[in-house]
Amino acid sequence: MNMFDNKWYLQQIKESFKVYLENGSSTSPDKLKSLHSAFANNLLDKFKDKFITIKSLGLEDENGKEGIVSGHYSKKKVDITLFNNENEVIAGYAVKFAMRNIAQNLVNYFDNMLGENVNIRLKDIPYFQILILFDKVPYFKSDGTLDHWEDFTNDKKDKFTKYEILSKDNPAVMFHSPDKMLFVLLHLKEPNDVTIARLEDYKQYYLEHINDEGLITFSDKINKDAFDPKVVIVNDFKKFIDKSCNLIEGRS
Amino acid sequence: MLNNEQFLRIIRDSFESYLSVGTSRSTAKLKTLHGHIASDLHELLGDEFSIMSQGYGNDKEGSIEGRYYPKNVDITISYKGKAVAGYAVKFVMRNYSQNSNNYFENMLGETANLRSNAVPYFQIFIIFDKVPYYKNGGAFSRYDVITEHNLDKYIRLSTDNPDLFFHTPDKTLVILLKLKEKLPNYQFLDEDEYADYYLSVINDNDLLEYSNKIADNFGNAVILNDYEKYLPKTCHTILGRIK
Repeated sequence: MNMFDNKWYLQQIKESFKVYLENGSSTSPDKLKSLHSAFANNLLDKFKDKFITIKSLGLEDENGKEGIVSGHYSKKKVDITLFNNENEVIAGYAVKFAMRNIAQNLVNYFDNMLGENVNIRLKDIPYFQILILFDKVPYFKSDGTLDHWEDFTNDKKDKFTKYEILSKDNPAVMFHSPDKMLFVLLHLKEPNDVTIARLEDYKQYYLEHINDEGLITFSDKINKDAFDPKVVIVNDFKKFIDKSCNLIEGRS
Repeated sequence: MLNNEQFLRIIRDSFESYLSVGTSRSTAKLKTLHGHIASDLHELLGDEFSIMSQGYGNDKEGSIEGRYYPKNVDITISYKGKAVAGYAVKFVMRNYSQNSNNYFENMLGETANLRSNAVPYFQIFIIFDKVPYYKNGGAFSRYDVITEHNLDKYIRLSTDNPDLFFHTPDKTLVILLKLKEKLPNYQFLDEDEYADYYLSVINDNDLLEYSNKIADNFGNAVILNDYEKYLPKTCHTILGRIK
């Protein structure tokens, strides 16, 4: 496994998943730290010959928190913010890793994502989106009991149509589209010997199996051909980082 | 059609429903407000159009095809069986500062979804000039005082050109309201005391008025505190856009 290749990223995702299982909250900064810093370190490496600084959670110096970008409408905390040597913002990345109760929130994520793209991109700052999901996720009720499984390879498949359409946008005239998006659909090995009835069962099971071979893999249940890679790249971290860096270099 | 004074009374009724039910998401709060706006749109647009909204007709929201996904919309206007325009109505009664960026980004996103499918989309945003902020559990924390600074993003939006940007609503109505205070700068203990007090004075004539706390620096795309002017303008846009 080479640093920053797709396998390495799967490892970072596993780390982030583990922190979530241990800490409980899907929005805990600890869960975000390992994942955000993976991207941030990859970008630092890509731009190592340039005078570029990055602010992101998980970086180990005074830059270890999100940067603030003055958008067209409002100031915005951006997960990974790139600055030039004059301390001007030259690009931003938003990272979302959703692990459960996704279907009901996907429209909200999407609307919010379009809104934040506009806010940043109208300031002539390239803005990139990273969305990471499992292809099957549990839906837990507020008391922690499992209600059902959301299966994005089957009955919830149409939830991704909006991203397919987004991939055909022209970001040059549609400011609500991201300059480039990485859409990652993962498969989490399913338990075959236990029944998950509660959130606690789920956490306990996956903590026990966190080091299992092939626990997290790229899902093969996504129709990559439905996405135009000019805007939305599916399941390829390396290509996304390369392309987004090309765009940043081309603009700055 | 409601005039501005009557519109204020409808907002009061909506506020009363919120106080009685205790949640700002209750559909009762929405029915009064949405239903009356829908009724006015029917009056302005005529019988050739059908309007779907909570509190009006069959009491249901309609759905509009967006570029990316079909969206349930507060008030949907249909012509010859096809949805041709929509209105979103937001009445913020609590915890504004925590959610304001989220509201705004969400609004831009939903607008982009519909307008990039060539559907005119309009926003109505209603807020008190002092909004209570409650902690989890309902204890009163502070007031979010709405100033021009808080509405900066709407001022910016008002100067955007909706013909160039899909994310900009065709027209937005901002209603800024002054709610009578129990005593100057009185701080309630919690949301129950707040609700009890305002329910006790809900019929007072001076309960609600249009706030003059901010100057009208809005550009063409935003109308401040003038429902009578806003609604006919939006109807002209709809009529001008259909075949």
